[in-house]
Amino acid sequence: MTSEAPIVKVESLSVEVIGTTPPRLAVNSVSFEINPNETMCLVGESGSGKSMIAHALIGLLPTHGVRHVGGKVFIEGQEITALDEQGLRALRGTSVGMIFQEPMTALNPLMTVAQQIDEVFRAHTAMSRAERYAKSVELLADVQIPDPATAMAAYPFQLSGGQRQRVMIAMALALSPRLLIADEPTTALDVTTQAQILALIRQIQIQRAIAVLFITHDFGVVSDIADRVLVMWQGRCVEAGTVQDVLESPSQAYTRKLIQAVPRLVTSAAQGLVEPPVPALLKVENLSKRYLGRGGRVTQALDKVSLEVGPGETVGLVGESGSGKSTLGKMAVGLLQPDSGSILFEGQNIVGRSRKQLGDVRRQIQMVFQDPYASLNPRHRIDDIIASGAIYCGLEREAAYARAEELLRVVGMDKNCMRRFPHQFSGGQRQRISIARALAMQPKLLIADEAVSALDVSVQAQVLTLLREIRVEFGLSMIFITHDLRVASGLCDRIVVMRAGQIIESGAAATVCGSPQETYTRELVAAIPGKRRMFSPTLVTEPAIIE
Amino acid sequence: MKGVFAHYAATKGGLLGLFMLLVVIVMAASAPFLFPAGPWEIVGAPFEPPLSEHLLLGTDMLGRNIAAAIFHGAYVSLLIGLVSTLAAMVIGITLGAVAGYVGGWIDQVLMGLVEFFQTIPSFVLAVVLVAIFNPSLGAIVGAITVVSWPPVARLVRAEFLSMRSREYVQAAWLSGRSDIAIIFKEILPNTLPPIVVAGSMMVATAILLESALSFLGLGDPNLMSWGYIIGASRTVMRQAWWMSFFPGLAIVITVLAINLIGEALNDALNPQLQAVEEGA
Repeated sequence: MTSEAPIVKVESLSVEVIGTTPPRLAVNSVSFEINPNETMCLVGESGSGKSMIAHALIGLLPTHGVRHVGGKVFIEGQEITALDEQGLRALRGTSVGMIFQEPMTALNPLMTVAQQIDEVFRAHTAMSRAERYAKSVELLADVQIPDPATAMAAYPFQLSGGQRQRVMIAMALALSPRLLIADEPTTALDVTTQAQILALIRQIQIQRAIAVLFITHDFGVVSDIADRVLVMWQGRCVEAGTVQDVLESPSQAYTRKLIQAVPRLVTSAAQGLVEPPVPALLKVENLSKRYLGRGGRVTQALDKVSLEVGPGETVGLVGESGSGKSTLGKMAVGLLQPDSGSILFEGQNIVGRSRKQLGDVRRQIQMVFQDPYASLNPRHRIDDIIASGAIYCGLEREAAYARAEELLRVVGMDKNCMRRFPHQFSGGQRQRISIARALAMQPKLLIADEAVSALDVSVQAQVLTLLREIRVEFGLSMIFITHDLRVASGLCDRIVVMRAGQIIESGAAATVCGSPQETYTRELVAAIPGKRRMFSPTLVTEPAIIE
Repeated sequence: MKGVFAHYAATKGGLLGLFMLLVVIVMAASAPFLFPAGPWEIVGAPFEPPLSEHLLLGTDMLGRNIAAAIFHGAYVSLLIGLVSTLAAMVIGITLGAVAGYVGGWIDQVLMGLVEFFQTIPSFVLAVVLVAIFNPSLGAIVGAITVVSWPPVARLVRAEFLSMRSREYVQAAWLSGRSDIAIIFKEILPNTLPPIVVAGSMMVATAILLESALSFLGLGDPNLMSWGYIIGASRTVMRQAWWMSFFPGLAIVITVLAINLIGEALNDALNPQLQAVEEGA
C-alpha cells in the first residue's frame, strides 16, 4: 500500500480572502498527501478553512471573494492547479467524487434518482441507455439501498435523509473516481443513520481501494473513520498524524480542546431521579396526533404519549427524525394542537385553550429553537428581540431593557452587542441570544428543540454548559429534545426514548444509557460515533469551554 | 440600511433612472412657474412645428403650447401613478398578509377574490370602470387601483406563507405578541424587498394605463395628461408628428426611469448579492 504513489498530493496550498486589509489567508500553506486505501480527516470548527481546501481540490473555489494564491495540488500525478475550466470539468466525477452536507439541496428535487445518476454517465461516457440504467441499479445496490429498482423511480422527497445521502454517494462513485471528498456528509443526519453512512463509506473504500478526504468538526466521527488526521485552525494545519497519535497524545492544546468537547455518553453518574418529583410541573397524558399526508396516507406522529416533568428536572426526549419528539415539544408550547389527550401545566389543562384564556401560563413555557439562523428576526436589534416579549407582558420599557442587558451578561455576551443585528453573530452566539430571549419571559419550563444540533461540537459544549448554569440559576425545568443520546446523557436527569410516535423506554439518564433494556435503545447507544477507541464509557468529564 | 444605499448608488442603471425621474419631477414642479397660464391657453397659430418662434416644441391643432402641456402633464401622470400604486399597495398588502397569515377559509375566500379580478383582462376592466363612473381623476385612480392590487396580494401572501412558519415568528408568538404585532413588526419588514420592487414597477404600469385610458378619450377632461395629448392629436399624426411624439417620449422616459429604479432596488435589497460582493 505504501509503495503506491499517493492519490492526492497538496503542496503548501494557500487561499486568500479578497478585500480584507491586511489580506487574510483562509488556507495558509497546507500540505498533505492521501494514499490509496487511506482516509484523511480534516477536522476543525466552522471557518477554519477545511471546506475551502476541499473546494480547492476540485477547482470549485467560489469565483468571488477568494483567490488561490499559492501552492500546488496533484491528483493522480496531474497538477490540477494548472488546469483550465474544461480540464477541471473532466476531472470532477472521473477522478474525484464529492458528497455534501445537505443531501436534500444537493439533489435536484424535480428529477428522479434514475435521471440524476444517468446524467453523470451521459456527461462523461458513451454508454447506451440500457447500459447506463443497469450500471445505475448496480450502483444503488453498492450503496445498499433496499430495492434499487424502486428507488430509481423515486424523487428525492420520497427518500429519507439517509437514503438521499446514499444516492449522493452513488452519484459520486458512478465513474469510479480514485478520490472521494466528503464534506460533513453526516452532520445533517440522525446518529443511527450517521453510523450506517460511515460504515458504508468505510466499506466502499475497502472495496475500491480509493482515497477518502473526510471533513468534519466531530472528533467522535474522526475516531470511527480516519486513518490520518489533520487539524485545522484559522486556515493553518496545527496538527497532523495518525488517528491513534492525535487521539491518544495530541500535541496541541487546540486539538485537546476539540477532543474534550465531544460529548461523552454518561452511564455511571449518580445524578438523576428515577421517579419524577411530585407534584409534576408538566403532565402530558395520552397525547395523540395524526397527520394526513397526500393520497390519504396517515402518519401517527404521536400515539398516546404520557410524560411528566417535575420542578427543576430536565427530561431528555431522544429519537430519530419522525419519532414525534418535536411534535410533542411544539404541543407543550401551544404551537400545535393534539388530536386527543391533555397537557397539564401546574395542574391546569392547556390543550385547546386560546392564548388569552391561558394568560400568564403561556409565558411560563418558552422554547429555544434548532436553527440559530432562522430563530432571530434578521431585521430586529438584539435588545429589541430580547426585551419585546417582556414589554408585551406588561413590563416597563426601561426595566425590560435592563433585564435584556442582564440576561445577555448571563448568557455570556457582551452588553455592547445590544444594538447590533443578528447577522453579525456566529451560530453559537445566536443560540445564546435565543436562550436570553426565552429567559426574558421568566419561564418555569424551557423546551430546547435540538438546540445544539446545528452547532459545531466545541460550540455545542459551550451552549450545553450555559444550559446547565441557567437551569440552576433560574430553577428551570427543561425538556431537551435531541437525536443525540450522548448530549442528552450529560445534561438530563431522565431520558425518554421515542420511536414512531411512541415512548420506547424511559428512566434515569444513566440507567437508560448504561444498561438499555430495549433493542432500539441499544441500537442508539451502539450508533454513537467514537465509542470504539476514543474513551471508555465510564469516563465522565465536563466538556471543556473553548473561547 | 447604509449598505442598501451604497449598493443602489453602485448600479449605473439605478443612478440614471433616478436622474431621469428627477428631471420629470422638476418638470412637474416647475410647470406653474414656467407656464403660469396653464396648458389650455392658446399661445400662437395652430400646427406650428417645433422651434418655430418662441415655441420649443410647437403647438397643437388649437394653437396650445405642447411644451406647456407636457410640463403640466408630468404632474398629472406622476400623481396618478403614485396615488393609485399607493392605494393598490395598501389593499394588496393588507389582504395578502391576512390571507397568508391566517390561512384556512379566509385565505380561500380572499384568493378567490384575487382570481376573480385576475381572470378579467385588467385594461378592459379599467375601461369599463371609468366608463361607469364618468371620467374624473378619482375614477381613474380608483380604476387603476382596482386592477393593480391583485398581483400585490398574491406576492404578499406567498411571502407570508413562507415566513409564517419561521422560528422567529414562532418565538414572537410564544412571547405572547398579538397577531397584528407579529404581522406588522415581525413578518412585514422581512417581506419588504420584493414588495418595494413590485411597487416601483407598478408606478410605471399605472402611468401607462392612465395614458391608454386618456388615449381612448376616457381621461379627466379637465386635466391635460400625456395620454390625453396623444389621444387628441392621433388624427393628425401624419401632418404634425411632434404633437404625439414629445408626450410619447415623456412617457417612455418616465416609465424607463421607474423600471431602472425598480431593478436597481431589486439588486440593492437582495442580501445574497450583497454578501457575494462583500466576499462574505
